[in-house]
Amino acid sequence: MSLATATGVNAADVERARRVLILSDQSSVMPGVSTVQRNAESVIRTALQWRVEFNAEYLDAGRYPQEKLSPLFLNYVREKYASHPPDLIVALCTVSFDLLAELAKTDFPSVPIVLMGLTEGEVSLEKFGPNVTGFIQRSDMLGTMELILKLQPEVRRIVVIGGTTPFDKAYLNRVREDARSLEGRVAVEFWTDRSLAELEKDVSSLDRDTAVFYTTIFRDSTGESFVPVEAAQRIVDRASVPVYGFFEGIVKVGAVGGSVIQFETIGKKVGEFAGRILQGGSANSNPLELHKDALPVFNWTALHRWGIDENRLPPGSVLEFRTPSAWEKYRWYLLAGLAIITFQTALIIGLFVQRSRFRKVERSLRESHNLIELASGAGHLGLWVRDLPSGEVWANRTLRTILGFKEEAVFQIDDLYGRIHPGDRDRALAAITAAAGNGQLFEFECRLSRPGGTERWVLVKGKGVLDSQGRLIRTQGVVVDKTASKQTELQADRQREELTHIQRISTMGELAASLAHELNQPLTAILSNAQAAQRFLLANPADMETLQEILRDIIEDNSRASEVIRRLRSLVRKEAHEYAALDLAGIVRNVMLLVQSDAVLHNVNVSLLCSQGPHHAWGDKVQLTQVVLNLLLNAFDSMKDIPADERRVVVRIEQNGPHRVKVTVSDRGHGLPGDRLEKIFEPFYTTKPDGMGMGLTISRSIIEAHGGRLWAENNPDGGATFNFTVRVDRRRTGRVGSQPLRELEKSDHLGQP
Amino acid sequence: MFLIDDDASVRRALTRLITSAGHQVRPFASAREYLDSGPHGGGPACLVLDVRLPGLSGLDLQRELRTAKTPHPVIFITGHADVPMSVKAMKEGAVDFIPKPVRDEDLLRSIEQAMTRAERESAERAEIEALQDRAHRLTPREREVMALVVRGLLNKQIAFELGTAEKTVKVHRARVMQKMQVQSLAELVRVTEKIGLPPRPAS
Repeated sequence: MSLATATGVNAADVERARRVLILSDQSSVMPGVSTVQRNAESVIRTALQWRVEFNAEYLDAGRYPQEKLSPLFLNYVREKYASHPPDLIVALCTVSFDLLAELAKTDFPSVPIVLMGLTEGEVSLEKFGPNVTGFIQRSDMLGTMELILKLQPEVRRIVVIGGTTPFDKAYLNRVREDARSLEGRVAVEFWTDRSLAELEKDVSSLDRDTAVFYTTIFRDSTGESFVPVEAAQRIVDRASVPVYGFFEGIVKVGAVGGSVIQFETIGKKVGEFAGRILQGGSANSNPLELHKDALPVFNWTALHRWGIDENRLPPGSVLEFRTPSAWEKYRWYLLAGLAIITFQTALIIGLFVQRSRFRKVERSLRESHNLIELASGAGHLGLWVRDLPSGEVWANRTLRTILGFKEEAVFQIDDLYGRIHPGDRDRALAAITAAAGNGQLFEFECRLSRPGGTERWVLVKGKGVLDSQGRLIRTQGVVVDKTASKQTELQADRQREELTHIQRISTMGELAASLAHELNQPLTAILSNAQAAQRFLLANPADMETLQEILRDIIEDNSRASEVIRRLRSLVRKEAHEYAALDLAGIVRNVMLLVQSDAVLHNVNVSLLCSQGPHHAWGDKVQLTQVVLNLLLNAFDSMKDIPADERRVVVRIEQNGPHRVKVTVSDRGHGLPGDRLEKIFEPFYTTKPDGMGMGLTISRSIIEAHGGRLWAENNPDGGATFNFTVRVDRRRTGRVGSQPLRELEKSDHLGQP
Repeated sequence: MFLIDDDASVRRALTRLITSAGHQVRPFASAREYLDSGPHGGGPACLVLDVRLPGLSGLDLQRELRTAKTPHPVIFITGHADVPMSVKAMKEGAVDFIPKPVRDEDLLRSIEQAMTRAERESAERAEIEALQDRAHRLTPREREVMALVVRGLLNKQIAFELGTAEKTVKVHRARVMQKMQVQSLAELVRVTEKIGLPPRPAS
């Protein structure tokens, strides 16, 4: 309170939370952005005694074209903060200066802005209005290239790699300009028209007189988008020579290093600017500064890998990932040990009193920690807790192993997110953000891409923890490695598909005789018509009218034959299953056509009863056709021994609750003895002399894969009924209920007298 | 010519083919339809039948026709030739058993055969009917005499069998020869063989 008075702020103002809106034209999945933001937030929080509420919006201009997105982004931010304008805007800007300037000037004219421009270009301040301060951060391309020549005097050629977005190109231009001063000392070559995949290949066969300078790749020449540090990882992994870069993330992925701009420092500087203004400083009194600071940072492992002499490093270099020598490693332990012994000697008596209590607490703490590690290790459970105010992330040993982090590695939440496969990352982050903010549970499966390129499948479950004011203060959860079971699952899927296909082919074998007949009919008609036509042509005069009729019939019969073949092919075709909205009545009708001649042969009357539809199921057409076909052929088979005029099969389609459709196939055969109602679904159970015994087994597995059920029951008045349910297409929630059955279609090919 | 096939398109094509060879065709969609439109007795005719028909099958129809008074020759056409079925059909007296798709010369040759057979059978049927007519005109006594004559008995033996005079028998015998329009005993024997045993009097 005394502080507040000192800075001339009244008491009510102290209670009020300060709102800081962070606008970034890149995405938070970029490690640079998140590092700047985290450090800025942390500095602001430490500097102020008030509660600070942070909001952040990301345009992601590095990876997505902006023509359509920018206006949407503007409107979104405008709407969102119209009623709660921020006290300060922090603009982290790389390319979209105009956009952020417009937003600040038109929508929040009185809100001060701290601008951090990561750019090689000139930035005009007028656009932002009078309330702006901050700095422009330049890269140190020349410094990096000088370092290459210092560390590797044998280098005659530097290959520069970069992307195709304006942001990428700006950096490449800077390298181009700076390279002029190196003319004569080294050849600088730009590889900017190759895709990342091509680059990966090309850098793998470079000679030792060459070094690679990786700038940024937001988008490669094929138009594919990347997080630059991930593209860097791929280049570093494949390169046959040392790779250098100008931003600090490059060191983390195994490049040798460079004169790098430090996002942590940038973040802290942004935080200091922001803190000054929030404490009452004025923005327009601080003009925009130009910062060129960069730090020579190197990866110790990479230096050793390429045999680069540590003595060549310039003074003041930072060595990361250094494996310390034994003395270095244990020196502090020894010194600390000595200090503790001295301290203990002095306080031993005092401590003696409390010792037992301390020990107890300490032991139980350690025990509970060990217990967690033991239990989670035994259950292969990765655990994590992220504390939002401090930004700290705790992960147990299993999770570190799953993610491929070293046991003692310290990492931030972004490093953790960075391990999520790029293809799954947006989905995963969206799932976490959506649920965690409300303190709800989230759960998803995703792939991890780990250093070394090994991919793993994991299941993530977790929740957000809110404080009493409903703010998210912690996220925590469990990660389970499902790689093994996922692979088994995929394999089982493939095998089931294979078996399903084979069963379909064998069903076609059963139908072969009647299908031959089906094809023979149009062929007979075509041949006889053609021969009749020949004869009519010989007659004098030729009967043109009849000839025309004949030709019309031939064309019609030809399409009839093609239709049979098309129906056949749709069943025999082998393709990965494909889910879509399907009209069930259409499927049943199609199968009825397919078995039509078989029905005639067996003297069976088939009819379809359909309640008020349409019934759109969600499923795979070929597979559901197969199920209906199996059930119909089984029904025919069950009625071989009963009088011909009693052989009837009725197919019904009706709604089954709000989310399912039920299809039933009822025959008038002898029904099934009670113990067979389930047995028939077992593999290799068959009543047909040449049956495979897989029809119903596979049908059931198909239906279960569709989230439904397939079962058999006996009719009260004789015969059996096979029922299956499938999910309705959720997008078409139409008329639902138990409308009366209406006769939709009845096969009339069997006129029983 | 009668054609029975349940497939409308095939029926139409075959009708055209047979018509183009100069035959008259009546098409039917089922055996039942054919039977209901009957009887089709009288003149020489033959049937082209699909073996596989809904309801009453081709083979069933063939059997039924054989027991009728006018067994027209039958040609089977079939979509799936199966040996036992064709043997059965041929044993039951089918003229031919032709697999689909049908070649015109096969079908037309079979039709020629069947028509020849139908004409012959029709002529025979006409002759028998005429002979039966004549036999109907015999008196009961003449019938008895005729039966004994064709068994080869002499007039004297017949008179003894019937308990009458030899002279009377002689008169009856002459009447029989006259009414049956035959010249010799041998001819009379052949005629009675053709019409079977002399039918009983109409009363």
